[in-house]
Amino acid sequence: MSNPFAILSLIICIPFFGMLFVLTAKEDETSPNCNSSNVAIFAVIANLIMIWRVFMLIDEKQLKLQLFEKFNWLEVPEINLVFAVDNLSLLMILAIHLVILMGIIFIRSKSEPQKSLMVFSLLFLSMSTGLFVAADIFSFFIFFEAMLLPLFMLMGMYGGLKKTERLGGFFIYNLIGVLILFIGILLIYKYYGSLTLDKSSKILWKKNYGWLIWSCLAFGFISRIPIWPFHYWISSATSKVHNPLVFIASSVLPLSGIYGLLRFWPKYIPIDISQYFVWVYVIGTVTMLFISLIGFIHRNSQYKIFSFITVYYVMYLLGIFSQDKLILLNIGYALFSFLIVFGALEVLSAYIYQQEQNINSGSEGFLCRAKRLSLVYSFLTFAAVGFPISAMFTNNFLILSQLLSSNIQMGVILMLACIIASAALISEMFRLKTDTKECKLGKSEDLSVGKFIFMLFIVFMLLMSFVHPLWFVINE
Amino acid sequence: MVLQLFISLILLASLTLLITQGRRRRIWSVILLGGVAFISYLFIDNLNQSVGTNFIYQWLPHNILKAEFSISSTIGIQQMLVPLVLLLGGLVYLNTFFSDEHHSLHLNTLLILSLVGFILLLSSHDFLQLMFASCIFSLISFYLPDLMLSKKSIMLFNFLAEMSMFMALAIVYGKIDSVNLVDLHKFVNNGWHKDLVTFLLIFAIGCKCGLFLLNGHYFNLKYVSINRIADIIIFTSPLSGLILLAKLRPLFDASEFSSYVIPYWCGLSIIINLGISLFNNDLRIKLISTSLSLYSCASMIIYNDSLKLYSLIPIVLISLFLVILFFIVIENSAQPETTVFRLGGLWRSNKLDFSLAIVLVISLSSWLLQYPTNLITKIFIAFFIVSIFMIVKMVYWGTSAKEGTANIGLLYSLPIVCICLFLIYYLKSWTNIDFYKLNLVSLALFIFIPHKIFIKIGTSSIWRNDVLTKFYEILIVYPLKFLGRILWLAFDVVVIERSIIGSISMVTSSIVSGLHKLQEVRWINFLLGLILGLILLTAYLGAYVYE
Repeated sequence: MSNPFAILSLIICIPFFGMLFVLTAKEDETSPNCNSSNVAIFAVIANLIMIWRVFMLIDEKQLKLQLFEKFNWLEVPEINLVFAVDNLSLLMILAIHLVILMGIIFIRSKSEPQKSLMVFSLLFLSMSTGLFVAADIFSFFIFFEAMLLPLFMLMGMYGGLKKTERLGGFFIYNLIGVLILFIGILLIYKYYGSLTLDKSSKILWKKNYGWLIWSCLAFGFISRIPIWPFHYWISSATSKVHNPLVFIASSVLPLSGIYGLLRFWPKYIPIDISQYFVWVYVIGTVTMLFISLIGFIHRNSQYKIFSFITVYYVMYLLGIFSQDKLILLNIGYALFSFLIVFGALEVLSAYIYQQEQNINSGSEGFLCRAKRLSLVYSFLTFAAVGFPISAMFTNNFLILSQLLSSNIQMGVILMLACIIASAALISEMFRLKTDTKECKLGKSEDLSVGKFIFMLFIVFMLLMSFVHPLWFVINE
Repeated sequence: MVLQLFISLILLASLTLLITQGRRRRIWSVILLGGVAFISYLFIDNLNQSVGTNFIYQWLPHNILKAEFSISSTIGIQQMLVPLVLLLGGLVYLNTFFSDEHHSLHLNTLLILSLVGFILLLSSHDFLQLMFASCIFSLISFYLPDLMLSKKSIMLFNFLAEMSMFMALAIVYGKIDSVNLVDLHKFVNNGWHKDLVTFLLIFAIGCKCGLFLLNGHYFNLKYVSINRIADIIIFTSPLSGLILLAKLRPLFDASEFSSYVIPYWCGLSIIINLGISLFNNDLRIKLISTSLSLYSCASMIIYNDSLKLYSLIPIVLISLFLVILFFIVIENSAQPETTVFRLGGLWRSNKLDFSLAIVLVISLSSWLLQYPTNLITKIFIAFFIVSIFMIVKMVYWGTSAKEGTANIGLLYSLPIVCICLFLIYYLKSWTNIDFYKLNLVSLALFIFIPHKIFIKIGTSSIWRNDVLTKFYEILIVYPLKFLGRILWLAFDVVVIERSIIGSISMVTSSIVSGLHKLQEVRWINFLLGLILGLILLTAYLGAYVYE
């Protein structure tokens, strides 16, 4: 389908321009930080409207990339940057916008300086959008790496205690992943030219260092996913962060690895290669079990949410390795509701943490007087653990069914890890709902009406995703 | 007609959710009761009008997953819905008039949603609607108790039951590639991991129906009010467990061990629950265990013949309702005391309650006996009635430890008496020899067996210890926490943080310090640089010459 208005470039640029406007936004004494937050919210909402427009332009029955935009970047060597979208990438872009919007809304009232937070969040949003819109290897690589910069800055500013060490780990792991991925990209360019993503199946296994290319790509993407041993830098970077926007951004990073694998997944894998997938299964399931157990014993609610995120990311990774085309599609759809659920849980947890600091008391029993917050928090917890109130239920049913069919031992351990991670979230919910003296003294601060209405909108979206979970699958 | 009932209930529940709790909560509850009564009347009046019609909505029409949302109006479903609808009215009545609840409207709304869940569960033709309906009961069971301890345990067990069922059905779907319940026989014939699937389903049903070892969450309900206990026991997860057992019955045939495990496990649950109902001193525990023994017996009957679900459910429901009424009467006499060994001799001050209790037990026996049964079920009914008679003796006979409270009141007693007399007359139980035999034997045991034996055994320390909770904590929770701690310390801290990260940073700092030293202006550094350069040059030249 033709794209005369370069709409895809526009949805990359809008958050970027928003960032520039935030930089120039004036903060006055009466309402510090509101201007920058308002500009950021406006930029995100404007982009959401454009994304809705893009949805109307594409043919959702088609699974292939559409709305191509091509830009000649370099003449020698000849490199073109190509943008295109399909249902999967648009859903990812939509989900990221919603979670970032949630994060911005919930930290809006904070008194500490937020301009830099808004600037880098919008930059991160712009780069993430570029990643999902990229349709050739170079633009994909550029945005794959470019999203690290704003995240690095966010973690450097809001990473909490010991952020220097965590930034060191963040830098080392991502540098190694970047270099190896770059080697793979260079090899692809050398033997196949500036390839678009929908033609990645042209990369052969047995010729032109095909095995090396695929290994580099796999390593580069997996280094972003919290599977052992890469989980360490992600856990240390993410679990100690109490700023919801920074947590969300750092938790979205593994999505880039999953997305890369989904996009580049070869149509055919030789048997002598696929026999080694069992190691991925072993490491993946052990990681899941390991992280879920730690989340279960950890008292920090942030770590519980992190363990939930990790378990599901690894589950989706293992689903990709099951090599079923429809499951690959389902993983993409599952990620939409997954992102929204964990983003919403994180902003509410951060809100509770902030209130805990403000009223100088423990969070135990916080929800017993905060009825609106309790309602939304309970719904999100039940959605996260897999109850049939969001698309996660049906999509996870299909994915787990496939994983259990392919390897029952792995499937059982995987389910066990999911159950333990879910039990951790449920126990956290109960801890917040326990009747305590804080409950009786009325110290809890409930959600404002505006935020409650926004969260109800999110709840409504999740319920609608359950009613219509496989939105764009074609009837074969 | 079932569809109309479904929609009416949803509308009624939505309307009640909009009403905030205030001073007029009882008035709103009465209005709600009127609404329920009206809907029930319409449903029962138009019962045979749309038999056999099915409302089907193609929820997921995709090849990847085909699922429907259906509401059926078969004779069997209507047969089951009649007592459910009547029971809804009865429970709403109890919540409105027989409790000191501040949230009676909230409770009644949850009961209405529970009936909606039963309609969905009974009408389900595929896994997704089945699991969706089952989760409704889990969520309602979460919101019904008002104490965190009860909420926690009931939520945990229901969650584990849902996950087990989810996993089992995911395995089944992976093999047969269909979510329809009519295709379950394909898995039985050609399935894989059948033992695992059967084990998971047995676990799920066990949690839902409160079979032995998986009933700790129901006993934790003793801390909540009797109305809430009644609502949960009669109208949520346990009953849904029976329906799930019937719906998924073909899958139990996939594995041979289920034919050994389930009947014996149900039998053991019956014996233990009846024993608890006799020996435990807490009135609420007696209520819960009595109800669970009925569910265990029902589970055994349904396992043997799943088609008996349609005729069994009304019997179970009415029996449970009579048991609840019985315990409400007992509790009214005993309050605020709930420990049996501190009671006794209350018949003097609570003659009306005592009479009511006797009438209730007799009507319960007549109701249970009207169902044609085998010998084992008859023995169960006999022991069941005897245990109920024993409770009457423990509370009303002997000498009282304190003054009794006021009688339950004629206004509230009258409907109960009418129900009992209606049952006895309608069933014509006085013409049944078994009826006389059972009640005479129970009366004889009532008079001659010293109830203090049960009380004495009930005061021993085993009943005070929550054995099951400690069992799960020692067997599951502590090992998991220990394992998590070991993994965190062993891998994250030792292997990754200290070994890998530490070694990388050590290597990096060594290289940096080495390079730093090279930068220093010393003659030895120049010499070192010269030697390094010569080595590189030699290596390059050597490689060039070699090629």
